[in-house]
Amino acid sequence: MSFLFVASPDDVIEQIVVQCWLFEARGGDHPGARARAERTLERLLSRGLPSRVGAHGRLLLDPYAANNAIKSRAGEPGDEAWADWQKTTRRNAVSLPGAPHLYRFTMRREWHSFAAAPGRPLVFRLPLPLREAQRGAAELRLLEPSGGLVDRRDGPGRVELRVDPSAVRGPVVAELVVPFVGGEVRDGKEPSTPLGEDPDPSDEPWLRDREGVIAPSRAVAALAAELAAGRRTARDLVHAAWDWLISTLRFGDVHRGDLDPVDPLGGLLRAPLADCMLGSSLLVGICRSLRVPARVASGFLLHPANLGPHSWAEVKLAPGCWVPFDFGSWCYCAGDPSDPEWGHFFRGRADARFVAEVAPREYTGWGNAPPPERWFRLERLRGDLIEHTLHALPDGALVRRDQLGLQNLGPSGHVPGDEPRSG
Amino acid sequence: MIRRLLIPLQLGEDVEVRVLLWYKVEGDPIADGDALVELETDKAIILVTAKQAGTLRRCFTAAGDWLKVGQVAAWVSDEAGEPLPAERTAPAEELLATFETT
Repeated sequence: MSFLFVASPDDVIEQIVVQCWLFEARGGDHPGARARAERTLERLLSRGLPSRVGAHGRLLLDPYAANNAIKSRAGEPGDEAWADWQKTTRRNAVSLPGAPHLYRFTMRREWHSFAAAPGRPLVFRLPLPLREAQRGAAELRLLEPSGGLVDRRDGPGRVELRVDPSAVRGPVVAELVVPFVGGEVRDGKEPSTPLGEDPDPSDEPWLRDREGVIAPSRAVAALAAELAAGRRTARDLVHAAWDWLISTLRFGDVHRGDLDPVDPLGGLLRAPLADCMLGSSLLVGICRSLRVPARVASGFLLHPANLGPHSWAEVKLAPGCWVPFDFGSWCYCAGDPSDPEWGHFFRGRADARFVAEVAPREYTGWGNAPPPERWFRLERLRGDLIEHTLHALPDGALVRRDQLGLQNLGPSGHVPGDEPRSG
Repeated sequence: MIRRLLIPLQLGEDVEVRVLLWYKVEGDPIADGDALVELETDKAIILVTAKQAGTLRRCFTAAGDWLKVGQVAAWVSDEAGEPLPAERTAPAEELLATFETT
């Protein structure tokens, strides 16, 4: 694993607050949470967390290395950061009701890096719930440049703004408020498709051997064959694969430059470290290598202390039956699938989520503000909102800032405007 | 002469693009430098601009449709009334166009 010294101690401390003590911080004790995070960072440094002294004597840290050190399987039970990180993730995991509820999602998004063809409007995108039947009308305001909006287009998984480039003087800023209904999704345990059965031709997008980090891999194919030995159905296979992933890989942050450029998924088997997107992609790659349709879904977790972007896998276990498998479940069981309560928490299950994308064809997209080739992310609490920032490498320049908020408006099977009418 | 607007290999061997917006409709005259169509991938928007004049005769895709590298997106003729081939895959000269990714 390489180290990228791009974050200040304050960045890392605030990230630790979010990871380990956000319930406390949001409950009014931000100073206490921050003091504990500061002690954690001191402890990590004393145990060898790499750092570098940059310009003007400033200490620089790798935010991913700090995160991974806390989440390490070698975390010590007596270490308050390790113990409280796990308490926080578990409290998040059980925080959402299973039955459908109405949520109000708020996003303030700033774009700091963008470019369009000369004479063309600038195109910016924000996420919307993918399934239109689940969402109400989205309120959207272009805050900067005010009066610069040329056009707005709503579609599945996104709202698009077209902005007059001559009005742009700095970052472009928009605020989105969208109500939607979300509820838990579970494996209905329908009889699963036998392994080896020819998939439906319409499943072609979810059988491709190349998509993002998914690429043909001998290592993944060999692992898939090993996991499939003696298994009869798609469900048997994906359960075996999921248990293998949870017990073999660690969940953590991965610099994209550390991925094997030829065989990214095969490289994960050697690492063995993966974030939500990479772990999901590996599960999808295993399934696809055995012709079981599988896909990566993305959106936002609605957890009170972890409101933020997330990805998980969905596997087609029977006709019309897509079942979620979330590698983030590693965080609840710390890599022990035999844990009776937490070991299989998100195996065949996902809690209420804001689902914005299902790869490869349903996506929000980046418009005229594409992601940098190499990047890293930070998160911190800003008032009541959770802030996620995307930075370019190598200079750490801010590319995009999202500030997220969520309200649970109570049980509801209907989206606003879709209530049953009397009479 | 009939010319075809091809999705170029330079976009990447496995790339699939979605049609976002046609700036012209069938029968519209095209000048060198006119924007023809906006395409998108999950990461970027691609503006296709004609680098020669003609008439847009046939669009094979509408907004929201998918195109793979090597597929024909449209036919453009030098003269407005020239007869069109029977098949989309019929051999034809390639329309000069730029594919600008932003």
